[in-house]
Amino acid sequence: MFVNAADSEPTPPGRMTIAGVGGAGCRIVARMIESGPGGPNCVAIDTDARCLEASGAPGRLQIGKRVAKGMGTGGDIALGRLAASNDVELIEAMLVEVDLMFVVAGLGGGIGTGAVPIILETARNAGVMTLCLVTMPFAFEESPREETARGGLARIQSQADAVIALSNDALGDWLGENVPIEKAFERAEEVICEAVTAVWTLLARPGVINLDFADLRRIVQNTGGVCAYGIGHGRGKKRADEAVAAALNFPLLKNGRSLEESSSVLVSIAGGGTTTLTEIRTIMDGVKQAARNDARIVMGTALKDQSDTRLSVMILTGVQRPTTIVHQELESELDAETPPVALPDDTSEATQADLPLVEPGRGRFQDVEPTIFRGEDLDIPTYVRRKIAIEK
Amino acid sequence: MAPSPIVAVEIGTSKVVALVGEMREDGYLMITGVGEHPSSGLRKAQVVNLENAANGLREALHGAEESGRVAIREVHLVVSGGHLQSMINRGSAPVHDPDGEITEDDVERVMDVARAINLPEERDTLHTICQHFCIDDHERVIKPDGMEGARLSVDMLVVHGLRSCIRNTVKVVTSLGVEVADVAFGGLCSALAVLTSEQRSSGVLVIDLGAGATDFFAYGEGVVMSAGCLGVGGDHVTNDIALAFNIPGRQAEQIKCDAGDAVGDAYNGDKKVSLPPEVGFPGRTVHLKSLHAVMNARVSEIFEMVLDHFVSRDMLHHLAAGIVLIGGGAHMNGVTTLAQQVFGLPCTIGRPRDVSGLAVVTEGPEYASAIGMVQYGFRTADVPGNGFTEWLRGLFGERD
Repeated sequence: MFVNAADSEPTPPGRMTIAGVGGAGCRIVARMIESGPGGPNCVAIDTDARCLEASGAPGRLQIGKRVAKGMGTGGDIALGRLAASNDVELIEAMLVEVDLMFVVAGLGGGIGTGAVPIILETARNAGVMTLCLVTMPFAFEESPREETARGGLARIQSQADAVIALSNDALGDWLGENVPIEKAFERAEEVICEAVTAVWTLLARPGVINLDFADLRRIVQNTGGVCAYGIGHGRGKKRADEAVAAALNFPLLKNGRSLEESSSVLVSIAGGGTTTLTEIRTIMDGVKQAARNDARIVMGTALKDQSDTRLSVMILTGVQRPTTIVHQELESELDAETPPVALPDDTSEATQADLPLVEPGRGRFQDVEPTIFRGEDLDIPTYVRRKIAIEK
Repeated sequence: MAPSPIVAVEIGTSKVVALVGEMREDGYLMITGVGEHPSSGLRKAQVVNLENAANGLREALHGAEESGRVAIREVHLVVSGGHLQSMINRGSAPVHDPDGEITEDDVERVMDVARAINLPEERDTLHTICQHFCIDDHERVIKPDGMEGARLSVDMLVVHGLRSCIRNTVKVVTSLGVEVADVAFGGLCSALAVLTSEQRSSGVLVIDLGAGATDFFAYGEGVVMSAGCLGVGGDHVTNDIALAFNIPGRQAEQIKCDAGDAVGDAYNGDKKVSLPPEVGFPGRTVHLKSLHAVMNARVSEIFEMVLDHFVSRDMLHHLAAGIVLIGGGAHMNGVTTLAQQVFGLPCTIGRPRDVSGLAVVTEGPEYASAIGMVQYGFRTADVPGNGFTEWLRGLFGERD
């Protein structure tokens, strides 16, 4: 059964900034800017002055001038972290007048793994909502990179409001064996760029059926791992069938198989204002067929430029097992709209008899230095990290 | 004349305990006063709010003063926390006597060499514990005095931790105008309180499942083999429950204690446990099977981390007497079964031994570390014929 997101009062899109952090992030921002004006507000953040320049972003923030001296971190996570910690005020200044920061980065390097968690933390402390889209490195990249990427992901998941983690490898499988390495990286960045644009369009250019950040957050929250994502486009008379088929066959959606494993799915339908009811029905039927019977499907529409005659379908799920960790019951839609309750700080604990409801995440350890062991944040519940199914 | 009473203080994550202990003429320990108060201001066994922690300590000290009828000016302090680790350092020195006879001086000298290790800037040594001596190529020597050889070596187990964390815990005490006479690792204290000499010689691992952290301390091959601490504990079990079922921390703690099980029963089927509604809480029923699954995941993980410490150092096979569990977490149903499953070794609940006084204190596994601290504090007391204190001094290379 699917729930119409418009039943609940939508949050206005607010001021959103896309921040490309680190080498990969800056390159992705560069692509988005290339595709022309009318796009999102972008900034680039890095220690490497050249990367920043090449991004062409209107807003550029060079961090860690003193410690990195305008160069890259060379994969040094501690340096990345230091660079960000040293320039917290600069990051804060950039966040004035921003309601939602969409951070895009590739994990495994110094900036992605070291600086991104600090940037997210700074944003959170400034009251800015954060969405983070990160890529997990290819397996062929050195294995320390994989391990540190996992550790970075854990830290990021504990800081950001919502995290979409995509696997370069899943994409690589689809590209085939004979693709040259540069092409592989390029194609990966194209896909990420498309994903970022699609998510941005959904949040910033809502159509009649509005999906807001809270909906997005609920879908990707607490996955404890990598997301499944698919996108497809269609043209002409059968564009709805084409688009949904392409999206379902997308490699990062495991050719539709990921839908069999997920209990919640987000579908975004973007068109130039000419999308018909029949087309929406076609698309939703396609999704429902591929998904589980008891899956919760949330749908929203987005408006592209009127000149764009293509119809695009984006599908996003958390990668979860059956009878999973979804915290809200379907009846408690109202609960879902209440903002997260802040954890009391220690001084009030002595006088409060009850701890308030804790938002899934790190609960009691929200404001405490995480205990990291072998790249895992031990404060995140073990059953989440080991993907153990719990019946509620 | 009997030595003056010793006050041991443990500022834990869930409770603060102050114990007043006296040494009787026959060398046995008696707990004469106890003060206890719920703790706040600590997370994972480390101080995050000094004022709150001090408030809890103040109450505990008052309680101990009243029940023990003493005025407390100075305490012995137990410390814990994931920053505490152990390492083995070997020191060696040539034997002075040209004929090769090993004297007390040689032994003192080589122990000093072994104690002088290079720790990173921010860390301090908490304990240096003698393991085996080695004379030339002859390893596993217990008492080298009077033996012959050209070169003497000793292995020292060094327990060390972050200076700032240790100092912050000390500060909680000194902020109340009370002095800290001595500081000791919780795991060591627990081991002192609960183990028999048979267990120590066969090889045994003590695991203290506290709310904020899990201490461990192991004997093997007749000496203290290894020690350490993990920054995860009972609070993590509670937190997992709270997050899994979307209930407040207090309710999570309640069902953990009332209906929890580290292993779970296959026959539970569809059984549920219900939490009645209260102010600010609508009430909830939870599947027993799910509750146990969440707890099992977390406690298994904790045990597996400890297991890994010993397997990676190739020490597991020395633990013939198995595992002894203490701390608040030892009250969990099924916890010994789970430990047996994870370690493949027998497991029992530890209780303080050779100590008399208030039964609830002297028999509860959660007071073991505080009681051990009292025993540790008395090690320098002059009680003739007390084998225990003599042995204890020898452990730390504090010779008579």
